[in-house]
Amino acid sequence: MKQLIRNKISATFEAKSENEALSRILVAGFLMPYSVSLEELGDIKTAVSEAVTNAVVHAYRDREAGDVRLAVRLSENGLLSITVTDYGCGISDVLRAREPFFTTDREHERGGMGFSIMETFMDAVRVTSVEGRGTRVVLKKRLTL
Amino acid sequence: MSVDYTEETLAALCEKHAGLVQMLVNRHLSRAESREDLVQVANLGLIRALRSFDPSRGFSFSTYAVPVIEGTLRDHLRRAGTLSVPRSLRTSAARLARARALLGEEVPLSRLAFEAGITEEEAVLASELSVSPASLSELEEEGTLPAAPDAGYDAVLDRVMVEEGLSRLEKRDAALISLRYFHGLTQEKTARVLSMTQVQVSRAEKRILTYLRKLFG
Repeated sequence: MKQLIRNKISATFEAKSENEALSRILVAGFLMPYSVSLEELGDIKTAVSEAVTNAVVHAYRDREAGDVRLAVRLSENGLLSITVTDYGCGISDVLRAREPFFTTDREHERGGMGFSIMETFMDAVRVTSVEGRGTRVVLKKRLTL
Repeated sequence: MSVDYTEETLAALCEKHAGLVQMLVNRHLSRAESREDLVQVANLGLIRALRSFDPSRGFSFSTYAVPVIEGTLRDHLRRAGTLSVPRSLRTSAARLARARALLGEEVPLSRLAFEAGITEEEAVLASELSVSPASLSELEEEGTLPAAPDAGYDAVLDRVMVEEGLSRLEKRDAALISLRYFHGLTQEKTARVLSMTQVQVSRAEKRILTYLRKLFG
């Protein structure tokens, strides 16, 4: 059963690091009317940042930079759903990628913590990916409005 | 782990990989930085990659160099970013920080904006300026605002230290430093991610930083 939408916004931007802050600003601006606590807002921004950074750093690493799509949806009953989609190289083994500390050798300094961060700060994280086609990360959190 | 090159060889290698450098710089162009500055920073990363590349690991050099150069660029931009911020926004950020110290973390941003006497739009932008630790010495002085950004070369050295050190740490310690330094999380948030207490994170961090400082003394 489809929930009634309270508000939604979506944006498509280049997979560039300067847009990581932009995605955080978008989400913060979107949530402004809904009296989300600073603490919770920070958590949500951090999770979104990680998902977008993943796309910026990995999705197009072996090809020309492409798009990242950010979609934010808030249902009437307070369920926040944030989707980050890229159309890049995809993840070959999603389960392994989501293991804490797992890192492709290329990104050792970020230490493979992106998904762990998302899972800590959101209520649910769903990752679907098709190699060569792209990756979709859906972050959900129940807000008390 | 370190390869030595003569000046001429380095120059020639930088020439050879100029295309790769340009491609990575293109992803980070913004109004704040000139292309020339970014190319210089990227070349610092390239030189680092050249020095530390180990062909026996099975990667091609380009594959190895990309994340090293990317990381150097991102680090530089993270530090340099505050330079291009308009003064009014910095004032708003300071007001916001003061309101936050007074009212705590449970209030919404809209309330904070009201208390700080700024618009909600300003508050959204200004809250992006709240900084994460940007260097190891800042990690040690948790709670103080960072000083002016390091010169580009110092920032690269700092990163070298953390990156080199990371590979010598246990997984959990490396994760902790990564969360604190590269992801900019507070000790509380780091503790949540790692299922530790904040006190445990604080102790572990001190221990790891002492170890890293000894390594690079």
